[in-house]
Amino acid sequence: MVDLLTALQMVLQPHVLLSILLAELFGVFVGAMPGLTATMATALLVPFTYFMDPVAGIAMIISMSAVAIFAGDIPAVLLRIPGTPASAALTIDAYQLGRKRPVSTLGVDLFCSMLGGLTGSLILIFMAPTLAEFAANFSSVEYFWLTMWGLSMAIVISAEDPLKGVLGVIIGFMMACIGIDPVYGYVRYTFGRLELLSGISFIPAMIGLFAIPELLKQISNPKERYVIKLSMTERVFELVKEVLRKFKSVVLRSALIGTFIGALPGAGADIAAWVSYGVAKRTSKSPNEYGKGSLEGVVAATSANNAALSGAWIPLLVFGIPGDSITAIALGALMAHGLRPGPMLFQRQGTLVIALFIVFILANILMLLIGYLSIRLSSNILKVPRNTLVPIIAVFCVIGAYAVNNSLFDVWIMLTLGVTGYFMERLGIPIPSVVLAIILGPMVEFNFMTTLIKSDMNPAIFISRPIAAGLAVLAIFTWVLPFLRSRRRYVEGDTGKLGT
Amino acid sequence: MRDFIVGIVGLFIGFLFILLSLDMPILIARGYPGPSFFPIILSITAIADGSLMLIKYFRKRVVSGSIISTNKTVTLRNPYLKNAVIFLIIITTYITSMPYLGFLLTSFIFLYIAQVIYGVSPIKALGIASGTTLFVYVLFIIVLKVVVPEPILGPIVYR
Repeated sequence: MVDLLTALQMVLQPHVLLSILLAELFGVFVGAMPGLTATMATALLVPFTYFMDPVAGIAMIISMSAVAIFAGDIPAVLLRIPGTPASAALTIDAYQLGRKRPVSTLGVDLFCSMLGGLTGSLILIFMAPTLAEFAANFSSVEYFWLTMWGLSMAIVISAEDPLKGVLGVIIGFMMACIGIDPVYGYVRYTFGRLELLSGISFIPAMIGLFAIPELLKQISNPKERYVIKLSMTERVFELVKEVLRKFKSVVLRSALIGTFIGALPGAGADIAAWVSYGVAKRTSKSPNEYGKGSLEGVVAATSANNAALSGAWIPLLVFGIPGDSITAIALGALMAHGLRPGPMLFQRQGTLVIALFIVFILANILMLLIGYLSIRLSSNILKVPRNTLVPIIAVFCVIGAYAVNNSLFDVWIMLTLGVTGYFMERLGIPIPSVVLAIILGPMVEFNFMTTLIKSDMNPAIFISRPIAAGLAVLAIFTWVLPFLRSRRRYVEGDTGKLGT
Repeated sequence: MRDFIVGIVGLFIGFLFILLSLDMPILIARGYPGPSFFPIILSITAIADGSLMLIKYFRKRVVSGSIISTNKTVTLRNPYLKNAVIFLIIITTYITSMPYLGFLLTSFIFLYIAQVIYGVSPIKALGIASGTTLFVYVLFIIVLKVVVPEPILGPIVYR
């Protein structure tokens, strides 16, 4: 109790609160700008934290990253451009939903991000050691099945025609194969281009695949003056009541999935959002709405990605192993302050750990205020006519793609993939499947290959461990189910036709 | 028809990847999987997927007896496609000229021309192009220190 009061005193200092607020404002800006990631922003923040006390410094990183993940949804809803990779899963549904009610869709996003973040924080506070111990049992076999399970979401997304979903996944995987092979360091499919050695950068690919087809569609249609008609009477939180009435369990389940996946080193908020979205679709009463503006889909993905952020701190604080790239940088910041994460941190600096837990809660609550203001401000972008907005967004896409590696080559990648994405959409190949495979491709290949090498090419290893076997059943079931459904629809369709 | 095209795309990329993987070892010492092992699995899957799409297309065609009723026709042509093509040409020119004229000047020209082509008045387009370029300059070059392409003659007036 004394520790809790001392920790509260540490957090409720004016300079700590001010740091949290400033970091959240910075997070909104970074998240909403395609091409700038929460990881990049964390790296930019770290030098500032050296001059602060540990609580204020770490509070800045926690608050900024939480808000950046939410803010990444802003351009996804308004313009179909995911601000960060964690927003990719919800982009299609959020944009479709946002075409009718942009402000309240963002309101749902904000509210669910806060709930997801709070749930993740509570799990971090109460269950960190247990979860971390479970996650520590994961070897390459479990990771392989986990990523395969994550990938099956691509098929779930494209349940209309799973074969096209599979093709989307293969195209994404093939793109992920370009560059240095993750196991042997062999150079593959680079055609002598040095820029391709590190592979196709994910952010230019994501901007190209999501944004360029939409810009081409928008500019092709000169009839409508605005991209979306903005209603002046729309309130930010008007859909929240509906979410609380219908999707309480979706929020909770997604937050749990998000926290768990976030706690696995290497699996971040982006994977958490995809898995959660896929699970929500499979268990939904109205799966046909997914991909066409499903509120449930948006709720699931956005609750999970913010929860994953707290989850990623579990292995960091308990074992000193970062759960994602943000916590990897945070580890550096903690160590710069003389704090060595691990079991001893809880014993030696328990008060500080409690203070960090309080920061997690506070950052998520304050996000509601900062997020509200950012929604009100950002929705004004929709008042700009289409023929002005499209060229401006194109410039931001170009600079966003360029800024990742300061390379014009990435801009060409963005444009090429954008045009490819346009035709893929016309052919019914789902873009999210391609994006998901680009994210998961290197992980799948690395874990698949190392598992085979470790076992002397014995495929039985893939089901030799209990957790791996469980995940294998889950993954195979999720992969096969859409095909069976599609087959049934096909047979029923044929029977119907023959009968008439 | 879309299923047919997707099937062909699947077969094409499958065979293309096999072709590109020929100079890489599939297996290495002790029979361990080599660098092209995983891509070859992908290629085979792509070929299988493409073949299944084609089978599905032809089966539907046989059942209905007519190619037109089997599927939606591909509507790659559209009355406003011209706008999209023009946009692609302008943006390609924009990116191509960036290393020669520098990021800021090309961005300004692109913004101005694109707006005027799509019906914004020249004066308004000039104001918006200037404002946006200034915003991008302050944000990315001054604040975030992004090193943007400079004009071929170097930073004479601007970066």
